Amino acid sequence: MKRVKNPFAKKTKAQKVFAYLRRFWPLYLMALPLVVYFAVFNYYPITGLQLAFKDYYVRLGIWGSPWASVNGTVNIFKHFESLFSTSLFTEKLVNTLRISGLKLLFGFPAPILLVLFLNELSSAKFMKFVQSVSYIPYFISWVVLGGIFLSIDASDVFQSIMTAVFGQQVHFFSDSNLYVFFLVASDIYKGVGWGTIIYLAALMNVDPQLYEAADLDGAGRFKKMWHITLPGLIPAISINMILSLSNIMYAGFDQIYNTYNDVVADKGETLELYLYNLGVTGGNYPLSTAIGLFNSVIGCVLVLIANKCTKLVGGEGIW
Amino acid sequence: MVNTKVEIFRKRFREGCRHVFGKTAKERTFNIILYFIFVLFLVIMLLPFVYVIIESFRSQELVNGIPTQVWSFAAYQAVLGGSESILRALGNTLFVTIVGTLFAVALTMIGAYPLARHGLKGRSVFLVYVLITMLFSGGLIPFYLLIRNVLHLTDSYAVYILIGAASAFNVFIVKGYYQGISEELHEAAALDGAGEFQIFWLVYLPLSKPIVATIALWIAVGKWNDYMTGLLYVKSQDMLLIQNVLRDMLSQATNTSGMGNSSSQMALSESIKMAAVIISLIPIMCVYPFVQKYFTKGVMLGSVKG
Repeated sequence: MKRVKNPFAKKTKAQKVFAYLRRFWPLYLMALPLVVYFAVFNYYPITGLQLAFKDYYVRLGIWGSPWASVNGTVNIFKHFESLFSTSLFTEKLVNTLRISGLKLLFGFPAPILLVLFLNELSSAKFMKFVQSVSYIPYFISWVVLGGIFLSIDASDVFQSIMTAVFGQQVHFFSDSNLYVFFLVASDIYKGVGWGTIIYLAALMNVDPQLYEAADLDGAGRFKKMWHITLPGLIPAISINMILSLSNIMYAGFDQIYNTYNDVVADKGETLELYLYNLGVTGGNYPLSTAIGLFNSVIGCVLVLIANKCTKLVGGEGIW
Repeated sequence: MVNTKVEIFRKRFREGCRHVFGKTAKERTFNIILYFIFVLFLVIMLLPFVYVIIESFRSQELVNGIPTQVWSFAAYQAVLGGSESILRALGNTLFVTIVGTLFAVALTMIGAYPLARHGLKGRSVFLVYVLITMLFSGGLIPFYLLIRNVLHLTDSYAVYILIGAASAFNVFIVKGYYQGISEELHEAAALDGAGEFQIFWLVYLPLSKPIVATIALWIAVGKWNDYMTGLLYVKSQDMLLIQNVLRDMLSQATNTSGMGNSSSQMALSESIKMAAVIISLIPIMCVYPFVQKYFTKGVMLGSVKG
């Protein structure tokens, strides 16, 4: 007798899984490369953070090296203790916060100001042109931009202009205070145009009728700027502000690495540079990893807080 | 006759001014000040590049034994003809940029697709898995030791292509874009008997051209500007990228400035540096006007859905 499969019979769990996989296995296959990539290049290095609690021996590798010890007794926080015991770490932390704080203070309002004025331009073509030009530096690496600024600083033309204006030569790379000024100014130069994009997108959502109504009420340009344009930007500003605050531990490695020298290191060397010099140049991997862990933990907490805050102010959050 | 022509021209000029700058006197002053500010802004933005261009053509030559400043292509000839390293580095960078971008785009576009499929079992786990990479990293040293001692990728082209090939940020942007594509298209294709591969390849990918262009350009610019990979993992001079060679050239001159070089050599070295800078910028500047809109589009997408 021929067995007839009953289509109404309840499927077993295994059958269900099989049917599901037969339809959807390509999706899992498609996810696989990305999963493997992140496992190797993101998750595996996270396990390497144990180095911050170990004494490193090259021939033993990260996993084989013993836990950090002082005079034979295990003290896994050895590297953190030595890190916090000297004033060096605090110095670099202060440098980092000084540079990123000043960048936030002056660099953050710059694109907003630019957008407010761009919005007043009557010629759309001119506006487009200004925008295109202002984006250019964003695409140029700090290797090149740093080289250009170093060359300008050393040139006779620039120094004679400085002498004419200030009565003396101004060297941005041989005075640590001027160097910090250079870092903030060149950061604005590179990012101000690019920073406007997000605000220009926000301005598209401002109702044009508001401007017409304000015209009828006899509002001037600055009044309209203050009462219509700026409030339209507030959501984007608050989200951007929170995101920038969460990046406060990163003062811009590429910019500093490609322009600094020993003379300006006392204010120019940030935690990231300290980590690089200590680890890559100096070969002190555990201590360097400890700094990285410190930075990473603070960064993570700040991003989590930032995301919560963006949701509180009515944004979508980062995820 | 002449008089009337002048009159007409004046009238037109006045009308043109009014059209651009406004009708009332108050508006005109405001606009003229505004345009003045923006012209100043443009000058500041472009001045460093003007400096580089001028400097690259300026060289000093000995004329009758006296160092004289002349305008010439000497620096460009020296850069392109003199040393092979910069040409080789340009070739390497072009190769790494193209292959690295293709690899990264493929990885991101394919990997983000399952993330966007609602109802896929295990999707939320996958989402968290990607998200964690955005929040936490091992940092520089564990990554450095991974590449050098575990994967042994030093002195290979693979290191340029693999590092930074996927980022959670790009994956989330593409996922957001996929989710903006109507679910009905997917259902219709599934009813027609298309498998997930076919739906991805024939429905989703063709509709995702703008986002492909955007992330491809971001990655390409990143590869073109990458100096860190070469600095950390590549010792062989033949395999260095353009930014590494530029970095060496630019820092060399700052080291030797003030040393006992003859002035003609100094001036030439400065112009050679700037000529090298120009050569490295040409590829970006050539494509920039055509691709600008894709860059900005991506930022807006990222701001709407992250």
